[in-house]
Amino acid sequence: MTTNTQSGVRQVPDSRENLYRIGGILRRLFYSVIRAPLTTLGTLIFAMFLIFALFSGQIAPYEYDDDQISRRGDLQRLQEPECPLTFLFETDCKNPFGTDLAGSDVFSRIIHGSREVFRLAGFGTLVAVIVGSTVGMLIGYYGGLLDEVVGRLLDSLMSIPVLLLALVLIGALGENSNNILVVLIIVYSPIVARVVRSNVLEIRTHGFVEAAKLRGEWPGYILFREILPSVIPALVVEASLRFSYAIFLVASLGFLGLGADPPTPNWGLMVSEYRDDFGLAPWTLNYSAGTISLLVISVNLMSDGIKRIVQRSS
Amino acid sequence: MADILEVRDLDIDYRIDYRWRRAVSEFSLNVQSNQIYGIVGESGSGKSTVIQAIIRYLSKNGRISGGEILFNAEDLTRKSRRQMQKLWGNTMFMVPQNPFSSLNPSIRIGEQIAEILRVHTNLSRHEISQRVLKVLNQVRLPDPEKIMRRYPHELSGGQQQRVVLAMGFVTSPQLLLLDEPTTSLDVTTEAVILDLVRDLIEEMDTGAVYVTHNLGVVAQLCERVTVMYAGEIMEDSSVQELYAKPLHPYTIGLLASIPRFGQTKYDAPLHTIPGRPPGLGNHPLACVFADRCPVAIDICRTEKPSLETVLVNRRVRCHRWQEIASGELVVEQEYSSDLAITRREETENLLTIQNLTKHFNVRRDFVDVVTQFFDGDSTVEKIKAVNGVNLSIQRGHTLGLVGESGSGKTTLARVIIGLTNRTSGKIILKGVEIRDRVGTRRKETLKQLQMVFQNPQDSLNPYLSVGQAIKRPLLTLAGLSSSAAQQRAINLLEAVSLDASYMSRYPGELSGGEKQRVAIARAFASNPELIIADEPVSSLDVSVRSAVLNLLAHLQSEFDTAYLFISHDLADVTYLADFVAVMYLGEIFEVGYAADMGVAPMHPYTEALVSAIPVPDPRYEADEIRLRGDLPSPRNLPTGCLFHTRCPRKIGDICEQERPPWRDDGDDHFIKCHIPIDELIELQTEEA
Repeated sequence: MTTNTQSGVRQVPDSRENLYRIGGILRRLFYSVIRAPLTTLGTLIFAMFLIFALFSGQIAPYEYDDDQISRRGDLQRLQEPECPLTFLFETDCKNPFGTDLAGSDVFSRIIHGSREVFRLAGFGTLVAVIVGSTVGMLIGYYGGLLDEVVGRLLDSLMSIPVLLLALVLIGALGENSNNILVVLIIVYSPIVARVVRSNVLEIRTHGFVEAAKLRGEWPGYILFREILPSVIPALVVEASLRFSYAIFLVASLGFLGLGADPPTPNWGLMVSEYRDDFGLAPWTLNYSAGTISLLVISVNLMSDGIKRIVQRSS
Repeated sequence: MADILEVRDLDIDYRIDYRWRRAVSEFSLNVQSNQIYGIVGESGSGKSTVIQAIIRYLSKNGRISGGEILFNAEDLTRKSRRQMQKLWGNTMFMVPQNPFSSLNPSIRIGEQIAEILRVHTNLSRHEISQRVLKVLNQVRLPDPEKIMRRYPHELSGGQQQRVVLAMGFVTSPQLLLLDEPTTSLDVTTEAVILDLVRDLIEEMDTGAVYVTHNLGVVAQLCERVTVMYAGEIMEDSSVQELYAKPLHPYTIGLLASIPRFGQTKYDAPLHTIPGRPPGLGNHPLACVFADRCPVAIDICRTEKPSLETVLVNRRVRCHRWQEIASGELVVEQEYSSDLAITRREETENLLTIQNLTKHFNVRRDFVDVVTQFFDGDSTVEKIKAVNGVNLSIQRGHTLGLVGESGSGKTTLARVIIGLTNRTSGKIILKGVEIRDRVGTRRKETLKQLQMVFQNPQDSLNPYLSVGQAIKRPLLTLAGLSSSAAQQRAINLLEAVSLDASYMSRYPGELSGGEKQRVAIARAFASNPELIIADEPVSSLDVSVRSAVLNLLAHLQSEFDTAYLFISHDLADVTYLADFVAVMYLGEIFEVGYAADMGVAPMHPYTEALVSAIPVPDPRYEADEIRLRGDLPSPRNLPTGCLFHTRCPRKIGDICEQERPPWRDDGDDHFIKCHIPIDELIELQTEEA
C-alpha cells in the first residue's frame, strides 16, 4: 500500500499492479495453495514422478532385473518392505518396497517403469494433442462438408470402445512398445479434435477473426496466430485429462500382456506378474498397483486445478 | 405520504482478490408509494449493487457492511433468508435486465405466474388461474389464454419482459425494483414497456426504484432521481429540478454529452467527460469525481465533499455547488471539445449498391428433408433478411442506417463487406463491381473497405497487444516496413486520442471505450475509403459514447473517409450522418438528408422511431405514436407493404395488397408509402 502524504490522498494499488510485483505473485500463489490444497498436492506428486522418470538411473538403487537374492548370500529369502513411507530420507534402507519372487527390488522396478510410462503416455498424449488440435482447428474453421465428413469419421472412431480399438490395432500392427504410441495417437486424437473444434466454432465468430479476414490474411495465420491462443486454455485442460487416461491405457495393455515382455518394468505388466505372487508377497502387487493409482489421481487433481484456473481467468 | 422504503447510509463491499473493497458508500434513498425513483449512473457506479442489496440478493462475495434498509419500518438488513423469501415476489419484486434468464425455459408461462400465487396466497386453483389471466391482460399481452400455455422461448423479448412484469404485479407488491428492464430491447419496444410500467405503477399504487444509464428514460418516467458515481450519490433531486438546473459537474457532463435529436456534427461537437471512473477499492479520500472534473480545485483533491442538502428535498455532493447554483461558475462549456467539422461538398458516389438481396436457407434436419420429399414439396424455406436494397454513399460522407433489431441492417453490412455472400445484386466501388466474398476480393478492394464491429470486447484479440493489432494491417495491407509501421501505429493511436504507451498493452487492460478506439485505429490503418461501423457506440457508456462519436466525425474530416454508420438510435445517426436510410424487414423505406429526418414528411415507421426516442427533458411531451405488436418473422413476410401489420397510419386494403411506390418530396428525400407526400405532411403537422 502506498501513501502519498503530500496530497493526503491514499491510494490502494489495484489488482493489475499487484500482478506484476513479486509480493503480489507470492501472495496469489499462497492463496491459490490455501484455496486448492488438493491441486497443490497433485502437482507435487506429479512433479515427483517426473523427476523419477527423468533421473531413474540415478534414483533407483538397483537395476530393474538385478537379482538380489542370489547376490546377497545372507538373505536367502524374500525381502519384505523395510521403510515404505520414508524411503526418500533413509539412506540405509535397502529395499523400501521389498523384493519380488525373482529377487528384484520392487522400488527400483517402479522407478525404472516410470520412465516407460512417461515415454509412452506422455509422448503419445503430446502427439495426439498436436494431431487432434490441428484436425479440430481445420474442421472447426472451415466447417461445411469437410466438417461433416471428417466429423463423422471421428465419431465412428470414438464409437468403438477404447480398449477394444487398442487391441485390434495392436493385433494388426504387432506387439511392440512403439505401436502402443501409435494406438494412443489414434485413440486420443479424435477426442482432442472434438474439443478443439467446438472451441474454434465459438472463437471464429469473434470480431478479431473477422477483422483478420477483412485484412485478407491467409487461413494459416488466422488459425495459428488469431484463434490458437484462445484455444490453448481448453487444450491444456484436455491434454492433462488425456494424459491420465493414457497412463491407464498403457498399464491396461501391459496387464493384458501387450506391448511389453518381462522383465521390462512396465507397470501394467508388473501388476499382471505380481498378481500370481499375491499370496506369498502381497506387497509387490500393492505397491505396483498403488503407484498407478497415485500417478493417475495426482494428474487428475492437477488437471482439476488447471481447469479451475482457466475458467476463472476467462 | 409515508415512505415504503427508506435506505439509510448503506455501505456495500465486494470481496475481490481476497480483500473487501467498498463498492457503495453512504447510500440513502426514500421511496413513497406511487413514486418511481430513478437511479442513474454509468456501468460500475454501483447502481445495480444498490438494488440487489435492497432485496438482499447480493452475490456471494458481497456484503452490507453498514446502514439500514427500512421496508415498511422493518430493517431488511436484520432479516434472515427465510424471512426474506416471504417478501420476495409477494411485497417486493425485482425486474431484471434480461427477461429470458429470469424465466424458467421448461415451464409454461401460466404455470410460472401461478407458482407465485401458490407460494404466497391460499387461493383455490380456479381463483389462481383467474388472477393469472387478469394480470396477463393488465400487462396488455394479446390473447392471454394462448400465452399462458406457451414456453418463454416462444415469446419475443418485449413479451417476455411483460410476462416478468406480470409476475411482479400478480401479488400487488408495494415495492418494485427494476434493473435496466428495457436496455436489451428495441427503442420502439422500450417505449411501449415504459408506458406500461408507468400505468401499472399508478394503477397499483406501487413504489418503484428504476435503475438505468439512460437519462432520457429517467426524464420520461421518474419523479425523483439519484445520480451515482463510483458508488456514491453525486446528486439527488426531483426530476424537474435536476434537468432544469443540475448542480453537480458530473450530472451536467452527463446531460451535455447526450446527442439531442436533430443535433448534427456540423452544429457543434458533442460534450465529453474525459477519463474513466476509478476501479473498486481505488477510491481516493477526496471527491471521487475530481480526476475527471473540469472545474476541480485544490480542495476537491484533498477533502471529501459531504452530501449537502440544498433547499428542500435536494442533495448534492460537491464543494462548488453554491457557485454553480448562483451561476458564477458555468460548467457545461468546460466539457466542450474544439473539433471543428467542415461540411464537404457533395461529390461522386464512392459505393453504389444495386438491388442487393440476401436470403438465408432455413436449416432443415433429416426428418424435414424426408417429410418434404414424401409430400412432394421441393421448396426450401427462406429467411429474407435483405430484399432488393439500393443505396449509394458519397466519398467522405456518412450514410446512416437505422432500424430495429431484425431489420437486416447488420446482414446488409456483412454482405457489403463480404463476410456473408449475397443472393443477388451488385456492389460497385469506385465504378468497379466488386466480388462477393472477402476471400476472393483483390487486395486493393480489401484496403478500401474496413469495418468497426459492434462489440469492442471481442473485436480485439485478447492475446495480441494493441501495437500488434494495429501494426498488422499496416504491414499486410499498407505494405509498410516494420519500423515505418511502428511509427504509423503510434500516429494512429494519437489520432484516436490514446498515447504511445498503449502499444504494449493488452485488450484486457483497456476499458470498453479504449478498446473501441483501438478498433477504430485498426480500421483506419489501411487508409480505407469506406468504413462500415456496425453499432460502434451502442455498447458504450453515455459519457464515452459522445467521445467516440466526436472521434469518428473528426477522423472523417481528417482522412476524407466515407462511413456506413449503422445504429438503432436515431439521435446518434442524425448527429453523425449526412444522409439517412431507414430500414424495416430488409427493405429501405425512407432515404434522405439527415436534416430532413424527424421533420414532416416522414414515413410512418420513421415517425414511430422518432416518437420512441426517450428525450432527456421531463418537460418534453412526445407525440405518442407506438407500434403495435412485434416485428413479423422474416420467414414469412407480410403481403403488400411490409409495414402494414404495425403501421399506425394504415389507410386500407391497398396497404395489404400492393407494394407501396417511392414518393419524392422534391428535395432528394424519398419515402416508400401509399400515402402521398402532401397528405403525410398534413397528417404529421396537425398533430405536432
